[in-house]
Amino acid sequence: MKNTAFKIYACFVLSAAAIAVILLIINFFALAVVATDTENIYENSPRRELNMISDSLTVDDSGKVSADASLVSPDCWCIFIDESGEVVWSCNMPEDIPTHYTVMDIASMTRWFLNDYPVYVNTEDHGLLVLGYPKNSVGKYSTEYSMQWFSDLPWRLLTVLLINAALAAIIAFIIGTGLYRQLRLMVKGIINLKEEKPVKLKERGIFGEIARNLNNTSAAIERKNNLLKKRDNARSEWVSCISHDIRTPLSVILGNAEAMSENDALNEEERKRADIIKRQSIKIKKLVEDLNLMSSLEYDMQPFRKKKIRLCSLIRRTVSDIINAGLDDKYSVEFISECEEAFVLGDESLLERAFFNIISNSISHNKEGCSIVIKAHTNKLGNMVEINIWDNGSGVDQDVLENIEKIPKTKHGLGLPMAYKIINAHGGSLHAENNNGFRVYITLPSDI
Amino acid sequence: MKELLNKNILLVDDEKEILKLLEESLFKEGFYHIFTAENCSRALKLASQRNIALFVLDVSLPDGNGFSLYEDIREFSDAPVIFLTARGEAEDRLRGLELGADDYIVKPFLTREFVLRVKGLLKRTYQTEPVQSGFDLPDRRVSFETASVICGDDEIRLTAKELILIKRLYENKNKIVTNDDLCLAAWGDDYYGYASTLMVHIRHIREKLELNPSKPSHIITVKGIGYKLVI
Repeated sequence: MKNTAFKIYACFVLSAAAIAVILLIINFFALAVVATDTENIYENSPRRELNMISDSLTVDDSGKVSADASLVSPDCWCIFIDESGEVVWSCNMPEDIPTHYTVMDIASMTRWFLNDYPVYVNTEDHGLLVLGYPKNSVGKYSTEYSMQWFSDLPWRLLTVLLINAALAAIIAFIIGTGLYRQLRLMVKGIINLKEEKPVKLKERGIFGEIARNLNNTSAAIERKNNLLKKRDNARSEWVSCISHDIRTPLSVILGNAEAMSENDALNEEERKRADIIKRQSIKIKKLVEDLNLMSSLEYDMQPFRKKKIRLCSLIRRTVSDIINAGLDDKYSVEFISECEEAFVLGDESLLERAFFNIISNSISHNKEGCSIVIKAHTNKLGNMVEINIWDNGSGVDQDVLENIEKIPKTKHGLGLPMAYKIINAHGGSLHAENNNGFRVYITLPSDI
Repeated sequence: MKELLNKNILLVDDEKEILKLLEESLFKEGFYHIFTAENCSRALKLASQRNIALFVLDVSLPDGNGFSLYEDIREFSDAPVIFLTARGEAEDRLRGLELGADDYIVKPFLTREFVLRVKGLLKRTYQTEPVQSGFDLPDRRVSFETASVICGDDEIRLTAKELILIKRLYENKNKIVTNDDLCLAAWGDDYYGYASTLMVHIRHIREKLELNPSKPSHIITVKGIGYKLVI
């Protein structure tokens, strides 16, 4: 964001300065070109008109002066004053214009106004040609500059340019800061949007439109999430209901099959069949239990009963339960504990289930037997417990490893994915691979 | 055992088939005084009329639930209770056990398991087990009463901790008892850190019990997990 701010400022300041300079230069030339507008009053500029009249000026033999009166624009007037100060030729001359001029009159007139008429004067061979414009039609002012001014002009222009550029930069900086602030709010909004936090921006300013859209998007995401959550809840509840409803009829099937399989009145063939029903019912029972647990884990709705657990004790208990349940001698399980003091915060029965599933997986995948080793130690920082479980068996199918994060097809069972989910739900990680047998690497945050 | 078979048992479940199943399985084992009820009111009526020794209660019943029925029963009877439920969720299980239920069976279940639990609970409640006085090894006898190992004419004394450990191993004979379990038995809740002390005690026990203590044949080490008494 800092970088962005810098970019915004740099861009703003530089472009503002550039604009200021360009504008100044353009204005300078424009001013030079469009310095006066008096030519717009009539067809020609006064000076040009005067020159034209001057050109048409004729003096006949008797010394009479005359000019082409049609050259004088309407509302304007024109007179010729001879050397003695008498008006000897005139055109449209207003009444308030004197017909005789003294030297003083001439001098004051040449400051451009005669009786408030703006006048233009041309010096001819025998007198002055005066062109008068209507009153209040033209303003005149004079400027004076020292020669020094002209020689300094390049420097002065440069200074003006620089000051203007600096001023423009400062203004741009202030405007840019405002813009940057608003932009930062937008960026913050987008970050919140990404993290699915609620976004409520003020819908004002240049980014009002963007802010409104961000707010709408945020609201839409929230709505969707709520819907998803509702759906997940419903699905989880549905699975729970189904598994509940299956249990009672399954008990009846199981119980009757069990009774039949032990009924001496039936022949052996029939008892065997009943036994098959019994065993398959037990399979369904396990599936139903797993499904229910899996579904609540899937939607993070497990009623977690977290408590401080001594991890090594839990692993020992799990292993001894597996062996005590009648593990064949062709399997061996060894536990190397290097972190007796390690505690984790978790749900005891779930964690037991995870380790049970992993060890059971090794046993069920190696019918000829194998030796299983479990090793637990804390990491260097002491904030994680690492548990490695490996066997020297034949490993598992590649798609078991690939699908460990998903609810698998029934072919492979729920064991490992369930372990994966349980470990994840405890804020840990589980990685499995085939490497001279099956290996599982687990980390769990240790509770200090 | 005979007197246990004469105890009155009340089964409460809204599913007739299940009641029939439970009744038959207990009947086959020799229990002849079995009463069944399909709802709370009938169950309470029966319970007040008969001297029921064991209750088996389904959690979901048409006119209430097993938990409230349990509390009603506790008003007048201290007999053990087994909850039967189709809800396997931990919440339910814990609620049942928190209430003071003696056992908890999740449907579906094997009737054999059910019968075993009923018998076990009756035994625990109404039969005082004869105190084990010790056990015999091929060449010597371990006596709990005198806290000693008798080998021919020799009598080797066992320390208090050794006796506790041997008893714990004997209660679970031929099964693994974890280090934690043994330490808990010998040193109580605050057992952490006694692992090496446990090893020393086991060595001493082996010296007293085994023919060849360096190659033990009775007290077997299960590496990293615990010990097993093989007899």
